[in-house]
Amino acid sequence: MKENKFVFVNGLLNSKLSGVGQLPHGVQLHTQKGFELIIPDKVILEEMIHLFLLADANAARKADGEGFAIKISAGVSTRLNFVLHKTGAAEFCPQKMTVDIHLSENACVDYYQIEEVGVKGKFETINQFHLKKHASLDYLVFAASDGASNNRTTVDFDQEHGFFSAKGLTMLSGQAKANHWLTVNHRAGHCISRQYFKSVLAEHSHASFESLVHVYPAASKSDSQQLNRNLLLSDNAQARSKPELQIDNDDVAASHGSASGQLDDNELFYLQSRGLSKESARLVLVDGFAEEIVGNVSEKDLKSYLEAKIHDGIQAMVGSIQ
Amino acid sequence: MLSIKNLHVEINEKKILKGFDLEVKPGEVHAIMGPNGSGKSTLSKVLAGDPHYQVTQGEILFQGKNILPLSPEARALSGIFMAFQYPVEIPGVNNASFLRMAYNAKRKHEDKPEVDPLEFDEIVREKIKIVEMKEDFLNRSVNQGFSGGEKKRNEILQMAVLEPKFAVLDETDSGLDIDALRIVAKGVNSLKRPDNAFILITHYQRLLDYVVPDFVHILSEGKIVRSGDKRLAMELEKKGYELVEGK
Repeated sequence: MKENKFVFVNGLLNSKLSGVGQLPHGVQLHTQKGFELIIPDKVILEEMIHLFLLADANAARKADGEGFAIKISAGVSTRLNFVLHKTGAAEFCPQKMTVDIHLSENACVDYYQIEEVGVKGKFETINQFHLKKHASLDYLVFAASDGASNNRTTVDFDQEHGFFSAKGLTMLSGQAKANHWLTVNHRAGHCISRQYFKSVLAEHSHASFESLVHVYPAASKSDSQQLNRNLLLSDNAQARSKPELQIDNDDVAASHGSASGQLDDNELFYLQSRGLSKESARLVLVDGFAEEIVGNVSEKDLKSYLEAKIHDGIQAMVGSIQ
Repeated sequence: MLSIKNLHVEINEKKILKGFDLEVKPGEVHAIMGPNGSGKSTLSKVLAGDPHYQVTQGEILFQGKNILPLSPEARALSGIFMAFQYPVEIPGVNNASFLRMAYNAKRKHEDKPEVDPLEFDEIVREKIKIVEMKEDFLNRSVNQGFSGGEKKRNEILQMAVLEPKFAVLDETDSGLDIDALRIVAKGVNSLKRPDNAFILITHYQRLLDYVVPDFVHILSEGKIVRSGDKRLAMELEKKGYELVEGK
């Protein structure tokens, strides 16, 4: 994977584990207090910025109370692929973090948030996105931690013709919990927002998707879609779904939908009738369910990584079905 | 090859098949026709092992072995194939990957080595010519966004890849325009061999213009009420199901 890798262990930058190439001229980077990236106008970052947040019980740690702040300012007509990857099997540090992304006119950012923290505990991410005219933000969140994770995301279309896409895949088992709260503010007209969140829930896990799309009076020709689908692999798994619309303008297109349920008997029978065992058929169906979210990830290596993680996770989950 | 004796089947306590008998020998093509609700689709689903249906009486022997206790996958691996009347859409599952999984499940069952994606690509590219499908069908999700005709052709493609010993086609011709019907029929004819057999379930005689059956049976109220050769289908086309009313 061609990328600039920044590794923070317990919130502190570890330069030995990090690997950063030559950033384009004018790009400013600050890593002393969290992570701040400023991309000047018309600069395209060809290589992905991959930020690892590792939790390690044996390493020094940032004071919990400080949290961790990521700030990205994408100038006019810039391009950035950014991955925030939280992982580790120690008590997660920092527990609270904020991600602020400001997109100037015609800026284009792909932001991937990968959460796979292998310990119980609570942690929270607050995403705040601001989009100017013709800015485009593709956000994908993969939540597969063992503890309880909260994601609060606010999107503000400050000017016209912005585009925001959010895709989420939550895969939980045991007692794990993940909550996604989104607020998308269509403050200006002609903006498009898309949300597609899915969860695969095994054992006693719990996921929620609560999303409000607010179309302001000035935001004519807004176009919004919210869709949430939950696959429950156990009688004890729980999904909460609350897509909401608040529309203060008559000239908009907005839709929302939600569906939760178990694997479809007819789909299982179809696959079995082609010679696949019941367990293989379940695996194929759950894999396919997840693939709709990650199938269009443009970074090939990242896509392969996610697909492998998902496949392994699903194998373990399908094995737990009674 | 297939012997069905005194088969009684119900779903949700509603009796559908009520003493169904049929003998199919290798190399034969049987057509089963009948009005809506007569039990045609139930027969195909019971043969494939749909767990929604309960067999309350009778037996189904395939190559001398009772298949009723077998799971759907065990029946498929023994060589039974059903082309669905309404093929299921499976979002996110790549058509080529699914076909390869099914093909490899069969290979494994036969103690043959599994094929990798490159080897399978050669196999499926040959098979896809039979149903005149574009290769991009292989890269789409299984049946998702396919037209009715494309779904039916995909069923025939699966049949061509799996090369079953016995196939039941459940109204594969319904909803097809004349070109799609010709392609489906061509697929069936190209797969006919002296050692395999087919049951065609259909409402219309027109499919039988392209795939000539050895026997035609009329199903009414859960049992076969009349059997004959292909002329019976033509007679049925002219006279309708009044032909068998009151038997």
